[in-house]
Amino acid sequence: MLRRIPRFLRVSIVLAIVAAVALTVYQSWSSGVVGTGGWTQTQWGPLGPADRDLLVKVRQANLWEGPTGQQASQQASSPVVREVGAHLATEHTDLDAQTRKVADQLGVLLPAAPNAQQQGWMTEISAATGSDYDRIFVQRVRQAHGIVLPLLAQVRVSTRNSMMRDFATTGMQFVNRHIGYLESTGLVDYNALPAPPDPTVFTFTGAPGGQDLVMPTLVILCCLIAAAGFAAAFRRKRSQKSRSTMVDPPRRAPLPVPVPFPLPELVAIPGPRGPSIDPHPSLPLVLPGEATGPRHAVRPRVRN
Amino acid sequence: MNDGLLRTAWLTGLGAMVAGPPLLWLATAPREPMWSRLAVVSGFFALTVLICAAVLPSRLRSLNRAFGIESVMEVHRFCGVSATVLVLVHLACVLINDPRSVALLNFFSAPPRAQAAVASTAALVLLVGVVALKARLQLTYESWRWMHVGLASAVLVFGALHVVWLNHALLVPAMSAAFLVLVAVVVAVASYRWVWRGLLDPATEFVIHEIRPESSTISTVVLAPRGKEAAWSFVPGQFAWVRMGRSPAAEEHPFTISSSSRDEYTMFTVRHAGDFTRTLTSLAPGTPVWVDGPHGAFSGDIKECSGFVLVAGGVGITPMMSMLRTAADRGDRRPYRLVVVASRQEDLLFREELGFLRGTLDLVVTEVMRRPSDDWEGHFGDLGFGLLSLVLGSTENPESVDFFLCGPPAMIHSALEVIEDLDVDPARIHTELFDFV
Repeated sequence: MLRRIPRFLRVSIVLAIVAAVALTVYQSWSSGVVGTGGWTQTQWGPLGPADRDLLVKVRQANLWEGPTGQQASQQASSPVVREVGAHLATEHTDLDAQTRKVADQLGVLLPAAPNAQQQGWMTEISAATGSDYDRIFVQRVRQAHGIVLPLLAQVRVSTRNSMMRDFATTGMQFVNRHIGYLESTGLVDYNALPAPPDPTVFTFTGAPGGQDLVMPTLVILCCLIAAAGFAAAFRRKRSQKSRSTMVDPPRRAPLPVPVPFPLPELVAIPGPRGPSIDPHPSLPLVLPGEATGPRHAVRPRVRN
Repeated sequence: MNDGLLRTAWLTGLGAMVAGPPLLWLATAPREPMWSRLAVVSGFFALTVLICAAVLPSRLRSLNRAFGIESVMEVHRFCGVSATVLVLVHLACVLINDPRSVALLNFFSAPPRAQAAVASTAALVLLVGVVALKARLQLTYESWRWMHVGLASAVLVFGALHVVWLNHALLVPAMSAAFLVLVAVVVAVASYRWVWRGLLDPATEFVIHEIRPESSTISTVVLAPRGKEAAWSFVPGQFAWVRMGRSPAAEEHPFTISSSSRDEYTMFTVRHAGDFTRTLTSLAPGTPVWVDGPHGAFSGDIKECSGFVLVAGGVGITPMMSMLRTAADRGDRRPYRLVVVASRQEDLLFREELGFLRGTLDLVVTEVMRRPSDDWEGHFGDLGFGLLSLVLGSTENPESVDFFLCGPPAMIHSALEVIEDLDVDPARIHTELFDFV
């Protein structure tokens, strides 16, 4: 059993990982995110990938702009910015409740945290003080609203789902109003906002373009190749180890065993206690009670 | 607790630690997109497998007794490599979920949670890289050991900080409880290994009673417990780490106990191969030494055995001596067949005592000489099928005999090959290889 335990444990760990991945894929599959080309039927009409993406993006916007607005309502130096922050906090709470309700009815999975870029903005804003805080807060939040508005507009004009159409309409009202609040502070640097899209490039969902995906793709490939490399190196090492045991060491001389004790004569070997089973006489047999035993073989004090 | 139950308890505990948190996340977490969920699940698996890799070699006596040090170290290495693979898969899932996250890899502009993740990953990749290249780097055991412990601590600390600062999974109360349990396990095991056993436990303190030369290159170190009420008991065949300073940072080496488990003194028979063993075997009686043990499952006491074939090479005879001496003290009537492999006649140890033990035990000693002199009349050459089948055949029930092998790796591997040819049940083959590096 002991020699089999490592294999048993290894197989158990691999099985647990495979089971968890299978469960994850199943959970996503049963929610209609993968496997149906991204389209599912709902009672409000077909629901497509752009509809789901919009709900995710609005949810993420709520997750960072709500708390950031709340923070600005307390930390901003200008009273106007404090007021804008308070409006944003209240309205994003309201919009988030609507987003979650719609997503729940349409069976769309929502993230629980803002994305990395948004968390980066939160860190950047929190780290600023005084008038810098006001300026960075207004600029970043205004910029973010500028990213979500076209997504809302795209879904508003092209979705096949009536509930999403209503949601996009409501969302556009919120976002337009927020842009108005932010610009009313007079702190928006319009020249620092991202340039309008090149009319020759068609971007449907605002997802990152091909250029932006080069680096992430390279990193993903490196990760997977390195992971496979580590696993393969470990396996090769193991198999080399076991191969080496297969090599029979060169023999210096023919084994003398069959000469004194040919195998067919095994039955003729005397009883186990017989000293003659040891074919050479150099190891003495010392009987109990003989005073000539080696000093540490005759143990005088033995615990009971 | 009996050993079967002990094994089941450890397997259950380790299994729950590895698979529990990821499965708990799948059961309790709010719904989220597939790649995001895969990222979290792979991240949690990486963390729990890492913790498993850290717990396994922490000298937990009951764990080492349940599985044997060889199995424990093999699973430790597997966990280390698996955790590295899982961390890289986790990173790939994070990027597939949101390609913009690639910006988080820029260490200087990234938020602390990403910096912690990058630091942990870099330390882990470095750790596994050094292990893979250890033969080429030619590091000493001590520098390798401290680098290993240091990098592993960095991996765990930065990994935990990544989870805390991310504050994503911990928003679910069940996950936050599971994370606290994992942290508590790591802190408890590390404190036990480095503070209690390494520094405080009075049961680890011994004094040199006697140094007994066995041959020109081998001596037996006889130790007595320092405290009168020191709790110390072992089963024959187990080993312990011995160090000459109280600090857990002191240099230490593993040695098999060679004395009877009923003996008043604890003995280690060591070859004066390096500075450490030379210093150890020249200590004056009364000098304190610290012993972390007993460890291991290389013993006929762990499971029921009806007979023994003991194959020993060089100082690999020490666990066999412990088994035979204990058997003699217990009045054991089971058959013992000892095969001693030595390079030269001078390397044969304990011959007088083995002669004495033949009178009190059902013991047959077969000595095999690698480089025999002209006057050698016994077996010589390699351990072959013929010799081992002869030895096995001399017991009454060859099918219920257990094999114990201890010695140089090359000897163990060739003996294992022959034993496999003898169709011995793998559950009856026990080996001891001190391959920690």
